[in-house]
Amino acid sequence: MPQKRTFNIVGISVPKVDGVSLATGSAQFTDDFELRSMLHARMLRSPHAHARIRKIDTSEAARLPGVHGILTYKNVPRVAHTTAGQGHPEPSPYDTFLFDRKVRYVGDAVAAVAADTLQIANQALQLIQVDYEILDPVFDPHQALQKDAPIIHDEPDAYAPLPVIYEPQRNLAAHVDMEIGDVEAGFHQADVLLDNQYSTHYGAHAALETHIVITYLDEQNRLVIRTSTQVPFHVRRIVARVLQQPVSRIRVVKPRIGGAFGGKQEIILEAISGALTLLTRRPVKLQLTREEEFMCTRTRHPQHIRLKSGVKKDGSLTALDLSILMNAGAYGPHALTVVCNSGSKTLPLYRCPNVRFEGNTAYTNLPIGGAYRGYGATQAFFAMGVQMDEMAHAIGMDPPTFHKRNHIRAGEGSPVFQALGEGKKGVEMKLNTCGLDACIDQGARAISWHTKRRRRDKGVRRRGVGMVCLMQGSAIPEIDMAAATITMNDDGSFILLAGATDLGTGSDTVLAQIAAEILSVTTDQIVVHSSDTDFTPFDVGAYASSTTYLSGNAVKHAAEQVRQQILRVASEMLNTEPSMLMLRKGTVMHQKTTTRRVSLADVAHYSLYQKNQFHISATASQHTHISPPPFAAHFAEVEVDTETGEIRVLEYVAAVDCGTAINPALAEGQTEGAIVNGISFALIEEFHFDARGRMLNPNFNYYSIFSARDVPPIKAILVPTHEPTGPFGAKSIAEISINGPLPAISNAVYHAVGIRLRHAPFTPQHVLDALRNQGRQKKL
Amino acid sequence: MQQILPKLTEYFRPRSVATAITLLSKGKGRRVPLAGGTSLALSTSRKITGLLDLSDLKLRYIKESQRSIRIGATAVMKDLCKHAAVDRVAGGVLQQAAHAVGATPTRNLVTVGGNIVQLFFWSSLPVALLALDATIRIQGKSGRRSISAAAFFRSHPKRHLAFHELVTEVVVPKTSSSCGGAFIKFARTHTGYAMLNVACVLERRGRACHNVRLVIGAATALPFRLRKVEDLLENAPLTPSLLEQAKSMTAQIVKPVADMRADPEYRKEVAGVLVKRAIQEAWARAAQTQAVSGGRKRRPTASRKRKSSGGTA
Amino acid sequence: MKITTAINGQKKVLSVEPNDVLLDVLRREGYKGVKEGCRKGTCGACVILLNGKAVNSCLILAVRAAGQQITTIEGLGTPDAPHPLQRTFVDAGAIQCGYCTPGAMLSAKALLDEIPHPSEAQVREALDGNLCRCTGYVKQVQAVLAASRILKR
Repeated sequence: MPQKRTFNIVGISVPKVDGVSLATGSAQFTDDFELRSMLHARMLRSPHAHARIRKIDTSEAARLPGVHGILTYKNVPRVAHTTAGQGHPEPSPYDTFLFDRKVRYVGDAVAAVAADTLQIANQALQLIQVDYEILDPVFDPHQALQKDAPIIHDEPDAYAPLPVIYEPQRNLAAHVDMEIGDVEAGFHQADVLLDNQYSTHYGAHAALETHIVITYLDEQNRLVIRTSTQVPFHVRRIVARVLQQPVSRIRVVKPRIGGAFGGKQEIILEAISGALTLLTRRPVKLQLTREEEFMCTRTRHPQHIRLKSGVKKDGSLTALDLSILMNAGAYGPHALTVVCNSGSKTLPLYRCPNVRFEGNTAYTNLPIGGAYRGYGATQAFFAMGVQMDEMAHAIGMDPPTFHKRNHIRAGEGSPVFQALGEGKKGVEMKLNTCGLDACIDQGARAISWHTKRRRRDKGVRRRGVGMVCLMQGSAIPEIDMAAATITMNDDGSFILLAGATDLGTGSDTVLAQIAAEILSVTTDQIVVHSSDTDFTPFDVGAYASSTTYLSGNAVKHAAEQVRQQILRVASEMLNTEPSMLMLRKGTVMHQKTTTRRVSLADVAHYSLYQKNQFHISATASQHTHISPPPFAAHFAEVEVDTETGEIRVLEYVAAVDCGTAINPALAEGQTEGAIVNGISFALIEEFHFDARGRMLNPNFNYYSIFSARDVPPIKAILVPTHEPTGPFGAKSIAEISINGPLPAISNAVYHAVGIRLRHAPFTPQHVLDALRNQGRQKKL
Repeated sequence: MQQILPKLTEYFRPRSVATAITLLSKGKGRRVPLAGGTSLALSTSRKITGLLDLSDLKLRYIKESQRSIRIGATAVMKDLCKHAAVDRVAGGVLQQAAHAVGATPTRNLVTVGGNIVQLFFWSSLPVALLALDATIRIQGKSGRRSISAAAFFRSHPKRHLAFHELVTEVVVPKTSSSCGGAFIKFARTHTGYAMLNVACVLERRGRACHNVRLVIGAATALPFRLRKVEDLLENAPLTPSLLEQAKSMTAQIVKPVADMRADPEYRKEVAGVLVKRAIQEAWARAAQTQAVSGGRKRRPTASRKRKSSGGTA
Repeated sequence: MKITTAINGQKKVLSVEPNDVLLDVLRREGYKGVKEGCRKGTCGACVILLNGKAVNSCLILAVRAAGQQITTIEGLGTPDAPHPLQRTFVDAGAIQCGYCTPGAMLSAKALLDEIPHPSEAQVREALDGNLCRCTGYVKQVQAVLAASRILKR
């Protein structure tokens, strides 16, 4: 057992450093920034799911007074790229052009107009004449892979920058496979074999702030991009390439972000707005409407999943065979890595000697999939979580016992870690920590599992409880990197320049706590800036549950270096050795005679104005060879209305091992938010399309999400472990809990009424149909 | 994204109904009344050139008389939700319907007049008003008229109201303590658009129901009474088998229009279930009112926060 | 047209078009705490108080604000003198991205003005028009209840 560590500020729920400014409405989001003579941009979008532009005539729109610039495929550089904000070279196919002659889904970009007002821009859109040659669309990923299917990316210049399987000529956006052991032999050893199909649906991030960007030229004629993004440095790199500008001519500034959840790990608007600014030499604002946000940004990739599994009567797993067909939509950002993650974040959770995985991603003429909190694990854990429950049931074992018997433990590795990476092989990893047993025990206790599990309801409304175990990762090993700079001010306070991107998650606060812990000050002595590509050091951005683990370590190392410098200066001032000094509450003191002391302000003043002057400051970088998984056990209690098919979640408990929670309130908040998003996705969120591929419900009226009134009591339990490679023992927490609701609710419904829900969402109609089928089968 | 009301040039805030009607008359249909404004603020109509803000017409009231409750056209949903007299009508059916409208900020805006004149298929208030046999008061250039809710909702109100006419008031008859009622909204979320609305008002005498009024909304463009089911229930002892009959009869009668969220077949079936439940609830409330003399009844949520102000009528 | 309103207790003369929406006018006037999220009255990011009642400013024509009292988040409190709700939202960890926060807090303010000591169910109902995708509402509800206890004292 790791010894109990005591910290001054780590592990304490200090208020968010940006809390007061957000609470008083003074925090600046992208749109809260005004520039003189700013133009307003709007985009013309395709009404067709699949068409070629025969002719496009913008002359009438250009003549409209107040219109200053129009972009179409004719006047922008043709650069194949991906909108996925990933490391370079990206594992996603280069299948996107700023504007193209072809449109591939309803809502695809056709043109952009910048005008004096939004009204004029809207009018101008109506004056653009487009002659479309309508092509046959394909909406089903199975059909898309058939021989005679229409080819969505028939352009010759689409390619994959990494050596991965990419066959656009048959609509295959990505493929991955691996096998460990001998799966067929494993199935032969099994006492029980299960083979089931599952499917998951489209989902919207539904951040309250839609995608928005403001671009302008600064006094050096450089392009400044103020944007609501998770990945400022990737924005700079990709926009530079797409607009054929040197990186040095571009600056990306991230203001406060109004929610992202993966949706803003995507370079959707920045290059278009930037091109309009370069064309007009004027500031330009481009903001999506809620309708565009639903239809034209990114979604959770729908998946068709087949899971075959073998288990012995003693509860040991003999083989797992997971195969997934994923719908990319019209373009392939994250087409490979999301499906890889479906395998790499689920299969290692259970010890199993024989494992096979295959993932295929197909293009269709529907909205585009992308990064979304959970990133493929959400979809695959639905199948995995339900099937584990079914296996436990098949051999007559209580699910908590079954999970405990099979889950990976500290000290163990999994060959899956090595076999599956992100666009390349993974890395070998042995777990330092796994608090899953404690998660299972504490969660089961909190929901009164054993009492509720014995109950069998008979009436119209029946209750049941279900559970699931989960894991995720902490950053992408051998790919992600983060850096941070800390400088000391002359009053002894500090500036923390973090490339890491706070999207509202509270990472600025967590990073400030890490710095404050090392520097022995309070968080109000740390001024945090995140992120500005001109001023903050490099960081890949906020994704893959990386910020606390990776950027946190970068901050910790920078703070340690600054601490050393402080001690060195203080030793000069106090005429002693640095090793004899310690930092306590803003003071450097001698370890033995604590009256020999100087304040941090004295140290700063000395170093800047008095002797041997230098600026106390340090920059540190961090990368990682491993991705320590957080673990969780989720429990749901539901009530099923057997007459209407409605499912009501009565209580939800999530016990999560995220290592050390640097800020417990923020860690709980991540968990609670992810759970509500997950329950809402499982029960009520759904994209509806018409026969021509147009989304019918791009609004909160018909794409409902849960409000405060719809939410059941939720309990987040943090189960501490100490991850030696993380800052102060921390692992990640942001994504893992969104993976729980689909399987936990499905398993609870099974306990309540005996039906297995394998197709999401669990709408009342779907549930009632399943109840009917069950009734029919019983009669037969 | 279209500009809202692009041809709008005039805005009036008349101080009397008479002035309002004169202004409407002169508008020849291009001036429209503005009440809560929740629909108009989203309208891209190029026909509308003028708005008549009804805020200063003093129509935001709820008045109780011996036999009825008069609700001014610009009373908002929130007003209905917290009014004791409204709470007492037929087991709170009107209040439940008002409570089912949107979310708190919309319930602060949506007016009684606006809700019934706009009549979206998911609207809840019309369903309750039909079940309560309310009367709608209308004023126009040729004077005043009153029509029954049944007549008002027989076709879409925008089709039968003249352009110079204003709904000024809704009159809801008070109910006796033996009268119970229930409103059920079936939706994905508490605040979401209804996929079905059901209202039931009935009187309980001994073991049987009388004067049953059952209304179904959000199944079709207009809410309608389930007369055959009402007849089935009239003066019959309320047994489980009768409820089952009411349920299956409803499912046979209701022919829902398409809704992307669920198939018509499914909604038919659920309509039957909701009707059964609405009858049960209404019955239970009527019983409670009768059983506990002095009129202290307990119902979940809405009613509990307020003090009851005196006896029932 | 010119209209006179009181915004956060200060008299304001605004010049508006008849089809201007209050949300846009308030933002134009510098009340950036009023957020745009859907323009359809469904998300609550633009909620303000109109004569003390929480309403969606995207559903209100600006001309209707003539002679009315408007409160935006800027009128609730300042960084130096925050309203108890602003303090409890920060302390409870009820703010993540903060985009829905001004609207949610104003809805909570209207509730506490009407019902100083609400039940949890009443808090949840008062917040039902303010969608939040970050917090799961747990800590928002706690924050409102905590503010009601502070205001009680």
